[in-house]
Amino acid sequence: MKKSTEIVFYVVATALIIVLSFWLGHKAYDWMPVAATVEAQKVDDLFSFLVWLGSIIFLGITSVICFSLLTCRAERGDFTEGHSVRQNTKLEIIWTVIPMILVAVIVTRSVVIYDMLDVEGLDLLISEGKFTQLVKTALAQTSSTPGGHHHPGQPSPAAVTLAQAPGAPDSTINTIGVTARQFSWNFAYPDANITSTELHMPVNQPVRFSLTSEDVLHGFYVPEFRLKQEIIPQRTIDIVLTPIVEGNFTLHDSQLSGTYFALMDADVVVESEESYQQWLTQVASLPPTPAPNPAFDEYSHPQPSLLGHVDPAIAPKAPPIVNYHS
Amino acid sequence: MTSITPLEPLGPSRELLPTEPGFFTHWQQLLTFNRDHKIVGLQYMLSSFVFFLIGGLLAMLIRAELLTPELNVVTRQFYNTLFTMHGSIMIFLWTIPFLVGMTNFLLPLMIGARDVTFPTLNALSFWVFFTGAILMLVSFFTPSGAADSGWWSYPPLSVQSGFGNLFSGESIWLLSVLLGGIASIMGAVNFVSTIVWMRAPGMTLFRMPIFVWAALTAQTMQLIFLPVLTADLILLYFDLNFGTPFFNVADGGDPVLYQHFFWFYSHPVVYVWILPVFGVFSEIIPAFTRNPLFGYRTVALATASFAVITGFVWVHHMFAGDTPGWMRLLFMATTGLVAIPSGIKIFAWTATIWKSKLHLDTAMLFAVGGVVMFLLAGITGVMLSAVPVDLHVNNTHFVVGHFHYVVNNTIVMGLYAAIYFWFPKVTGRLMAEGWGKVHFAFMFIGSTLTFFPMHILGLQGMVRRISSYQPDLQEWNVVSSLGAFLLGVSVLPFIVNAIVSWKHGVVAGNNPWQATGLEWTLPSPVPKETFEATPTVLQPPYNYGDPNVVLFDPSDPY
Repeated sequence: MKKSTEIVFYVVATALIIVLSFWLGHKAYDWMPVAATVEAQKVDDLFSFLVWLGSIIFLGITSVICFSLLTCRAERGDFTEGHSVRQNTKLEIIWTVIPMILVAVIVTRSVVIYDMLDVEGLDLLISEGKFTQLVKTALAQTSSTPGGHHHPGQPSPAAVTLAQAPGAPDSTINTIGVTARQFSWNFAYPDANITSTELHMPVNQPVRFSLTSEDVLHGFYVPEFRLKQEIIPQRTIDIVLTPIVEGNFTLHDSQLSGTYFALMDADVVVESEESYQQWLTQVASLPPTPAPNPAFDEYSHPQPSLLGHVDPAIAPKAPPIVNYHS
Repeated sequence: MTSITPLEPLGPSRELLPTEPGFFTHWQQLLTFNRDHKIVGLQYMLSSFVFFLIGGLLAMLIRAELLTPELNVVTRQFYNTLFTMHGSIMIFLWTIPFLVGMTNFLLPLMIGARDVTFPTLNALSFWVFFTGAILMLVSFFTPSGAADSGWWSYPPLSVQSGFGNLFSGESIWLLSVLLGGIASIMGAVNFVSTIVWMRAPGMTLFRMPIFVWAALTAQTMQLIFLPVLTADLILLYFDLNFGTPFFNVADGGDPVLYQHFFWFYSHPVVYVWILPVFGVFSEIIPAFTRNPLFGYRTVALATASFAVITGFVWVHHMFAGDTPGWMRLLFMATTGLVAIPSGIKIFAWTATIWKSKLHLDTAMLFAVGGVVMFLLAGITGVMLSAVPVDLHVNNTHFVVGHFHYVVNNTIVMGLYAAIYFWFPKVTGRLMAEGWGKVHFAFMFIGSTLTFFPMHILGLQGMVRRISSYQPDLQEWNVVSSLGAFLLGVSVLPFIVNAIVSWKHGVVAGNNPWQATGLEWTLPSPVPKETFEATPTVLQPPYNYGDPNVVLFDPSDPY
């Protein structure tokens, strides 16, 4: 190859790799489940960025290796030596500095996004990104909305506007008590004084989950919500999430919790403020009854299987007694 | 094409005398308390390979269960045992001991030493390890079955059942891992002191092969970090059997403390495994590209830097725990730093391959395959270091995919590369190339099919360690399981090849690959007395490249 042809080839290859990586970064959104919370959108943005960056590096280096594999083969039995270049200080400095810069960029971006998420749930800074915009839009549209600023402890007015539910509570953020135990979930709504094994929450409002465990480590994980939180016995851990998509999702236990770990799921319903309030009222009138529990059922009626002990090491606790179950 | 110039590596080669046997004359040697580093190495490698096959069978069962969303092959209880023992066996009975065996065999040969500093301790190390390994396997036959709380063995789950029963699976598991740890510390003392004290004249630090740099770094890391795990497991053993409250939250203990101690060792240990494999890549790639290792000194220093960097990253395993925000962000930054020395190595190998004279023998195929796999593992690793992304994929199959790209697709590939490369030093014969390539193709395709889909499953939210899953995740699970069966089958051509070649392979001669390095000046197989006269090293390492250009310069500051 002539020198000029070679350079053109490299430039075209690099351009192709960058375009392909950009496309992969864009496609990365599709590899995720529905982004059902404000937080999920942030996480997906970061992931897309990482896929883009990672693809450039992966495709770049593997292309160089594959190109060499195709073009630099020696003949069989030819043990002559290659080039004698042992080092190139400039090049080595470049390939030390480039990862440093990339890491700095990634860390900075992650810190910024993490700040937006504020998964510790201490205040509503989660609203800063998307909600500040929404607030502005909402204010512009409905100048009559009082209290256009929001501060910790109050849901942003935009959430109320979006939900179009005048009855939405605006003094405190909704808190749902989540109790994990082997192998069931129990959700308590202290304001309405009800319990449920199905997690209901209104759309477009921040919800605080107050997580506790009665026995071992568990994990609170709804893939569509993205943010996961390990639950530690005798600690109460709060996280705040803002669901923005109505629908049915599944809560999984994400930290190995014993024999029936895989069955420790719960249905999650994100619904409009109206139907949420309806649900609360309807459930308040129901007497507490034992909820169906897959782990307990399977324990009571063991399934035949090809291999292994039938006796579980850890028997499920009795199903929770709650006002509402599906 | 220039004329063939066979390399004269490091002075005249030693020839095997007709009356002189190799170091390994009959199989009964494997059953003895043998102080020869080569026999100890072989004992470690052969026994751990058997354990590797057992661990692989457990993996086949796991993947068989995950073929369908419902539970239908094993009980839930046994499934938990399967993934716990699969992980434990692959880590404590295969990867670590095989590397110890390989280091035992190669290290003294590479630095011109007659043996390790403490040969008796070395033999003791193997038998302590072997006792622990047998204990772990025997635990399958206890009434309650083997350990089932994951290889992390997090309390409170790990101490929830079997309290006070010294013969519970969990209790035996703890003892077994403790014995393995003691054996590892014995090995580490030996290796570090051997490298420090027993290098041949002229084998200065910057003439050591990267494999030796890696061994020095990895074994120093064992000495620094392993005692913390040992303490952690002893405390857990006390909690389990004697009711102490170290990690019992109800009595004022803290289960999170266990996690900190556990990962303080168990993250760095990943580098204890992978650094020697990077060393293998750094030996093989120059030999089959006929180029010196590009940026040798930077690669050596990058290797050593892992010992420091990886000491400050362990909390990234606990991002989704009750970890304060500042700690999450701090450890995200330190974790990112790992990308820098890793990057240096990948760039160095790539630059060595670039414009070279490539020979794609099986050893080289495995080495290049391992490098490409590691590149992907590194990229998903950086994704995992980003806290917001980690909070989504933590404890999902994304993580399982990521670390199997490290441990199987990179480390096991690297170990195979090493076996194909150094097989002649053990047996005097070469492994068959054709079967080797079949093995490589099966393994490369099998590994990719098994572990790539796990990333997608994890992004979709498939939690790890579950024995049944939602039906919409089945497609990728089927791909992964079929890949796993192919991966399982791929070991068969290897075994046949190794056994047949051991007896009937092509006779290798001292240096079949025309490679540099002191071990290639020795006869194949290596005789019991390796270096009759201590060699003097006069050349820089990886002295490939045009021999007319690279001449030994006495004023070289190496």
